[in-house]
Amino acid sequence: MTSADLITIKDPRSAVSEAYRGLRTNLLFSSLEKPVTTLVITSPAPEDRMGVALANLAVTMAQGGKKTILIDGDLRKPALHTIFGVDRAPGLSEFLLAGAGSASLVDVGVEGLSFLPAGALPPNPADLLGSARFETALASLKAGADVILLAAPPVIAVTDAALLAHQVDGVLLVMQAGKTRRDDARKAKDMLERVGAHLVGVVLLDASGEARTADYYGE
Amino acid sequence: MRAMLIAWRRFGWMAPALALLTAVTTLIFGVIRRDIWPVYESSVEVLVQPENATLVDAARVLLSSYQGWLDSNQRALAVIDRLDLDSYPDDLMDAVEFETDDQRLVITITSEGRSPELGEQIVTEWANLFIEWREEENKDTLAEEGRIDAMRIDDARSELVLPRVWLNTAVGAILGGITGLGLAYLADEMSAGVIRDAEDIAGLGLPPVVVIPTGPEKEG
Repeated sequence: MTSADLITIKDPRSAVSEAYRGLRTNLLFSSLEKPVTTLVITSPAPEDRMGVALANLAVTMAQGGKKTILIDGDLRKPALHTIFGVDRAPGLSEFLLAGAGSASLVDVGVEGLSFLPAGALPPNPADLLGSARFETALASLKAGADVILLAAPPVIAVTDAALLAHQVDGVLLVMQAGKTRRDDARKAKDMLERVGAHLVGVVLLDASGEARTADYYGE
Repeated sequence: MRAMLIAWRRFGWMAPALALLTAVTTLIFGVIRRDIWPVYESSVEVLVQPENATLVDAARVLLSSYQGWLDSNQRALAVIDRLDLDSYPDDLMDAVEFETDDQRLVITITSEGRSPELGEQIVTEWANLFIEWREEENKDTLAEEGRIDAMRIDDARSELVLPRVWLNTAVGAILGGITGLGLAYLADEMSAGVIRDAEDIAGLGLPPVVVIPTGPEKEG
């Protein structure tokens, strides 16, 4: 069951939904040599609406015919399960701790979209996300999906996002107009660059004016 | 300069908003003041006329002397007595001015106050004092052609001088607009710590941006 809050389901013809479709297109074609199939989505600092943005992006990916798995990789303050109205566990942490078997993917009512909630909150999220088990788990999930979207905690708050960043094809930073601080954005960029992350783009939420996706490739 | 232009583009609405606000405030204040604290200027012109044309130059010279005669505590006291005013001579003199016009041989007596009727009475009475004095002086002049007469050209009249409602409103609007431009720049400076648009992100050297506009129910 999906949340009625998701505008890409509720009003797929709206300008906002169109902006998400633009984002999907840009992500899928951002690099023809090395397509982005695994993507970490994070924000510089705690961002209330990042979860909604990520959920909308996942829905849009699935609507575009891409078999998509959305993983709540925020093992500290997971929120995606509330957006989709499902239980938090079992989820990613159980999948990683089990070491074998299949992940407890949840059908959220959107064709082509599966959701892996965070699961029980582990005492050592960073260790779990940086482990070889995670790499193995991610590889097994990749085998059954066209696109994997991975939610991560804020970059400058904890190291989780940086740990995840070099295991995926790219990182997408979510910022909110009028809220995200420039210093935080700069720090996030520096931290991600330091770990060699491939920063594929920035999503700016709540910006006034019309959606702008055409400049995604630059001027 | 570019920063200012960007600031005004973002917060430029502050300028017309503040201009409108100050204009309306000034207008309301002006209208209220006009009703409860108006200032009127009452004036009367007195013509100094020699009987003999050869005395015109002499009359011109005498104008300043006449002005000195008028501008005195004695005359103020006389006006107070005649009109039975509740005022001191010094206070009345502060409110009255005298001006001479050498070309026209005219002395203008002007008074400022809240009541136009009283102002007109004051300047008229002051003028009467001068006219009566000239008549007395002329009696002592043996030769008729040596006389210098004085007469009021017209009745005293008054006009509202303060507040200048429309002038003040216009000035208020201009000052409000200028202040608004300053505030717009200040607001932009104060909000410089947060990301506001794609330009800010590009300025940080981050990759190109996809902008998700504000959704109908803020759910983007």
